[in-house]
Amino acid sequence: MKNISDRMQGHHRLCDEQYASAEAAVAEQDWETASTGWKAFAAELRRHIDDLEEGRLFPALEAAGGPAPPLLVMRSEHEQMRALLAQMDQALAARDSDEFLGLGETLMLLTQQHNMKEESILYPMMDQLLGDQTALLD
Amino acid sequence: MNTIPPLHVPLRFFLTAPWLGLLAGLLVAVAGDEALASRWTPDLLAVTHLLTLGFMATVMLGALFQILPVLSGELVPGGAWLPTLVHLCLLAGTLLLVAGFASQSYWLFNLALPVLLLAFAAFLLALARLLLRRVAGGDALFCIRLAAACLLLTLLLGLWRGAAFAGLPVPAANLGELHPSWGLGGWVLLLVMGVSYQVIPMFHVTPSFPTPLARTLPLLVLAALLLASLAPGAIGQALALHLLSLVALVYGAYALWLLSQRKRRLPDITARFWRLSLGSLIAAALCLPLLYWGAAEALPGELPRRLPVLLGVLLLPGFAVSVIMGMLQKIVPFLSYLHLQRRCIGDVDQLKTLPHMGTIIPPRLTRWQFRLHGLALAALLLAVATGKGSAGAGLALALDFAFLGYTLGRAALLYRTTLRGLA
Repeated sequence: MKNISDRMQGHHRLCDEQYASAEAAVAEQDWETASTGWKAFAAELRRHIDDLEEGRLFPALEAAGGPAPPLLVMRSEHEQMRALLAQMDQALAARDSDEFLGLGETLMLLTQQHNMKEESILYPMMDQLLGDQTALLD
Repeated sequence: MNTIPPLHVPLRFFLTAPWLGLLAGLLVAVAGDEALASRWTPDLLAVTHLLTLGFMATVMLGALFQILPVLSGELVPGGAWLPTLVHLCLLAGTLLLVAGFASQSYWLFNLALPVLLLAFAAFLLALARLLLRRVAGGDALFCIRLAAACLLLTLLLGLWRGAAFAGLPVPAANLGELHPSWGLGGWVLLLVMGVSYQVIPMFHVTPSFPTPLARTLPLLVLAALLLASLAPGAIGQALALHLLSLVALVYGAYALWLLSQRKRRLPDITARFWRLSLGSLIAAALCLPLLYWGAAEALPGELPRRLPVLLGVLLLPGFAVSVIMGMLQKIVPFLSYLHLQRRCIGDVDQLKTLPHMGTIIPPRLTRWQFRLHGLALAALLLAVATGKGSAGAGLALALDFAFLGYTLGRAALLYRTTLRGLA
């Protein structure tokens, strides 16, 4: 059975790959593929932050006595990501590739530095405090 | 969240640094071809310090003012005046030092050294607590701390040498090689290494450096430098030199391999800046043993005597400046966007009006920066190797930095007008 860290990190990498495909399609102005790829990525990212993290893991960590300040930072960065996702939805609908790619660069940087904090601090903490609750992610 | 410093703190360092680089280029242009013939000519010493203190250290301190509070979750003590003091002292101290070298008026060091000392001491004393705290930073921070220690040693060795230049009664010691060795091998190499551990995976979505390698490489660098400083014999020196070259080669090759594993398939100019930088490092690492084995003696004309200067061009404008230029192209727009976005959280309509990274520094400007920098680097290498064309190479370097100054200034202006529009 994989622990929380492994499963959540794996999910980060999956999202990275999905975004890379969507981005490549936008750059080639292949709007059909871009739209399918983007929808898959956005759904997966929203599931990650809304459902898995804010819906299940964060409350469980709080209940287990985990510290509040890091979660506050993570939630506010999720908020920033949601705002970018909404803007990118619109850029894609308008078929504005410059706008989409400029926003995408911002989203990628925001996400990568966010993921590093989660992977180096938050998830290991969850492994410790919630070690026996991997069913949370099923 | 509120430990993120205001944007003007790092930005003032980033905005002034290119203009000191421009001065370096102009100085190369007017100094004449002979100035590049040996690394000890007063003009080249002035150019070197414009690049190391004026450009590299200035950007580094600005970045540390940004990143340390974020990593440690604590505000920099002293509020707004500390960055102002550090920034102004670094600027004034560098200009005085460089004026001293360029005009061979070494009494100026009596002014330059205390001012530079004040800049670094104020920074280190205020941030020592943040630097030494146990914060999560992993391999990157491990390496950056070692780089900071090497910088401190480099500065002390520099102060000592500077004081001797200024005619102060300091104990004479043959430290000629130690100051540049700890500066280039210790500070520059370890700093870029440490930063790359963090930003190559983050900016370019690649696999990470494996921890055993990421920890061993900087320790081997340190071992090589200690050996070079403390082992008197020829064998020790040879061992140190080859170890340092080997570490640089392994690091450069591994980092290039990581970059080839990028998940994103879009062309990325910052990744190209990294490749140019790592390529320069590998070339320098191959050059160094060549120099040692006397293979250089077989080269025609003046080339053997010029090889150390060539090494310097590969390491400073090649290795260090390339990577800094490439990263500024991402860091400045990213920070600007984050600061703007925080101003309008919850207001979706306002959010849509914000300039994003691609507007703050358009990719076409970054592409031009890469071309200009490649041109400047090639012209410098050619000028050093042939002993001709330093005027053109200097102008190319000046243009390269002027363009960086323009791009960053333009980004800062856009940030300010947008901010005013939000208020």
